[in-house]
Amino acid sequence: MELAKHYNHLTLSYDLTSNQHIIKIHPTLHDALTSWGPCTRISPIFGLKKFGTQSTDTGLLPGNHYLIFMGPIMPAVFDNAFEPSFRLWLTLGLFNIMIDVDSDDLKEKISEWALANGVRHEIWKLNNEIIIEFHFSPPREIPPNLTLDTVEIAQMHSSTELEELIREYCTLMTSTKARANQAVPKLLSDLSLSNHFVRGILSDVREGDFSSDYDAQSLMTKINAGVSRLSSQTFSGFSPISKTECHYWTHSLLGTGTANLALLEILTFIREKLGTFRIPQKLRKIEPDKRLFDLTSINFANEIWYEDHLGKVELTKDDIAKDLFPLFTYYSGRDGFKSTPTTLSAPLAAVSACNSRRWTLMTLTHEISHIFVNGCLATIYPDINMQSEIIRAMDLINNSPSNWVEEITRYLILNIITMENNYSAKYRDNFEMEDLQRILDNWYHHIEELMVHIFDFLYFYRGNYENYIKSIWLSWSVIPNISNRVPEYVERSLCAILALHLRRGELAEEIAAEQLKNTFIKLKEEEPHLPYIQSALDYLEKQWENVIKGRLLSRKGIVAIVRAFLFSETARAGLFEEHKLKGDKSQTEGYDKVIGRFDNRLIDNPLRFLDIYTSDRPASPSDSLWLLSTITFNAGKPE
Amino acid sequence: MKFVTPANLSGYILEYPTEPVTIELITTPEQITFIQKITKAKNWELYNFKSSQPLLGEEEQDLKESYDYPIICRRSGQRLLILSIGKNVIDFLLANVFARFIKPKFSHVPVAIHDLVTHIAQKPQRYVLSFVHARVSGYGAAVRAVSFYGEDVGEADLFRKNLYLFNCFICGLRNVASGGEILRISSEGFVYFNCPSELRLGDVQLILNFIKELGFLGYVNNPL
Repeated sequence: MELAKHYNHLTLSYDLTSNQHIIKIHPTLHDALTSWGPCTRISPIFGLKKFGTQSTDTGLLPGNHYLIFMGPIMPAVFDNAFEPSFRLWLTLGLFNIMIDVDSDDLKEKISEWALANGVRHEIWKLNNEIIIEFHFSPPREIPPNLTLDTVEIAQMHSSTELEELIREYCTLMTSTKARANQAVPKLLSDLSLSNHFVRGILSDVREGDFSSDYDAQSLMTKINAGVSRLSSQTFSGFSPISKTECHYWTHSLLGTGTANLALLEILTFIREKLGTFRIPQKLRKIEPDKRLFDLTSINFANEIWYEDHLGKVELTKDDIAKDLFPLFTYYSGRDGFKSTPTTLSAPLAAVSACNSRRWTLMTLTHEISHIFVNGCLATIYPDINMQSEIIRAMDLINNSPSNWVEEITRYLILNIITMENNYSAKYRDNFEMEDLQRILDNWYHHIEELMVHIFDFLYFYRGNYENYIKSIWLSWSVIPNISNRVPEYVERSLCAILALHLRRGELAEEIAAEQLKNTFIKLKEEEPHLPYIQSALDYLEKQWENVIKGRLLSRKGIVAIVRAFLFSETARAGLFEEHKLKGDKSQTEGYDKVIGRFDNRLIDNPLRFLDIYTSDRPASPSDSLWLLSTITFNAGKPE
Repeated sequence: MKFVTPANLSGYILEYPTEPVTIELITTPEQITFIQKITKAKNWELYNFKSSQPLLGEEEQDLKESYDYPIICRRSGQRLLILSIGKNVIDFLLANVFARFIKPKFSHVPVAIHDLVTHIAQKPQRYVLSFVHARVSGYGAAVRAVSFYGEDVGEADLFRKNLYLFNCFICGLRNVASGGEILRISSEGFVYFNCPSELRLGDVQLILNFIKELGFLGYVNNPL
């Protein structure tokens, strides 16, 4: 089942004069725009060679015919069930299959098949381009307790400001659950989990405490924004299609449900494989050695920096009692790749370009890494807003820690001081409490970003520096006006690569620089118009001895902390586990899928699949559709 | 005869017992003729080996009176690295030509592969392991051999922790900073590498120097 390279544009208009719905297929956007009305909606549809729709000149059947929208369903499953005796296109919506058929018998057969297989569908009876009738597959039963948990939240008492946010949340969540029940019932468990968290947030608000109320308002505002976007993007374009407009304008007719489900699939996978490993909880109980010793006295050749300490930690039921928050995912032109404690977004451009490295969904891993690293920093980075934490930090510097978490904290603080000394070109080892607080405050964001880069590189890019550097610099290339941040980005890139070379003694920094330089040169050859690369190369070459090497050396301890105490090879192995591989496919690491061809062969690991099939090829809407569809429909489900 | 790249080259590190290896020594058999020094690789030489029989599975309809094979050599004192475009060519050359016409005979230079692998794993420097093949002695017939492939096999905890179980006898090496595998070398001094251009010969030379400086070239583990 091979996808055509080019796509058509499907429009649905409503003629206010004749009170009729009009559906059309246009070969180009230009053609669609020339007949645009106030109620017109549009979506791309992708033809398939097997079903005779590969040409952009293919339009609707003439005369009396039916358009059948069905989904969400693995395209190959449907393909296996029918001979190609009708026109078929794929879409990015939840109704990811669109069929044009003029035979009543065939229409009935398709409808019966869909009903028998539990596939929701909507049938439009047409005369040429005019819709005469709408038919919907029977809706799913509404579970009796679907709204129970949301109703409980609506009844919780709160301040006036919070009450408005709760009202918004409850209506949003009730609507989202109702739609999910019809379209994607598997989402219901995550939505219920969200209610559980919100109940917890609201329960924590102390009456009369402005601060806790304000914190809850802030969280609820973000949650509401997340739910709103998740719901409006994922479920638009579902039954009844004519009444569920999507606000993503170029997909306003059928929505982007398939793309949203792909995003969710990736996030869910990472949550199940890495989230449940409970890195922050394991860090709290880490014990690299039975004896507690001074990390500053151990050189980087010592195996303690390379053992899987997190992998050896065993957690109790209490440690894992708290559920992981199910982040709300959506696409956003404004937010791009961004994470908050409750949401995760990808750029709108990724929907039609995620096959390319510039817009790959792999960039999500940087945002996801922020969530993990923030959880770890909550354990090992003193809270600068709490006086008791600053006192404790002072105490750690001057006295012996009593456990490994304290030792790691102490080591972190000492390395931050080293970085401060390097930055200020002054050596100080005597600090007052206010000085230490200021230093910890100033460096927090920098440390967080550094650790996120190293974490992302080791876990999600599997230490493949070329892939990592290409990906991050390509993703930075789409951000305008960041020339002044090139030095900072060069240093972050070097720190990530340095994680591979800690054991190389004095050669470590030089080799990291050489690898970065070689990758920049390759990138420049492959993408001569890519911004910032030449500046990065110039900076690396001209400032290596005077500036960069010293900075890199002062950050080596931070690199070592991530490598030794935030990274686990066991966890990474789980994250990239894949059993559905073939032996003679080394180019694709064992996957036997071909871009643009749909099949029903499953994959275990959407993340690994995404990593392998993101390429240096130019952005392509059809390749991106294939990628998103495969992740949504072929990942880890029984046939 | 020309040295045409890309080519896959394989051969051996040999040692002549009594004196430095010279062009005249190599060309003692009349089947071997010196062609030229290889321009882009210092101290590398191209010879021609004329064989009366096909050595690389040439088709029957291509049967000729004689077959010409390129021989690439690098001489260093009493040592000689001798390569050709197929292991069969070199094996035949050594067994049937050199052994017959050059006395005393060349001997294979052993390489302490396991020590080399252990050293690189424990003290990583510029050259890293891209491939390791080892026999496994502790599990009887259950597991006889293992192979590891990667960009830096020695960096993996899995490999370092279990190295004591392995008897490594072939390894591949690459420059950690860039590029793929440069060569594979075995404990019997067999060398194999892909040669995309003459410049690769220089990379090979650097790696062999590296192994030699570590003391693993020509090392003999003498239990006595």
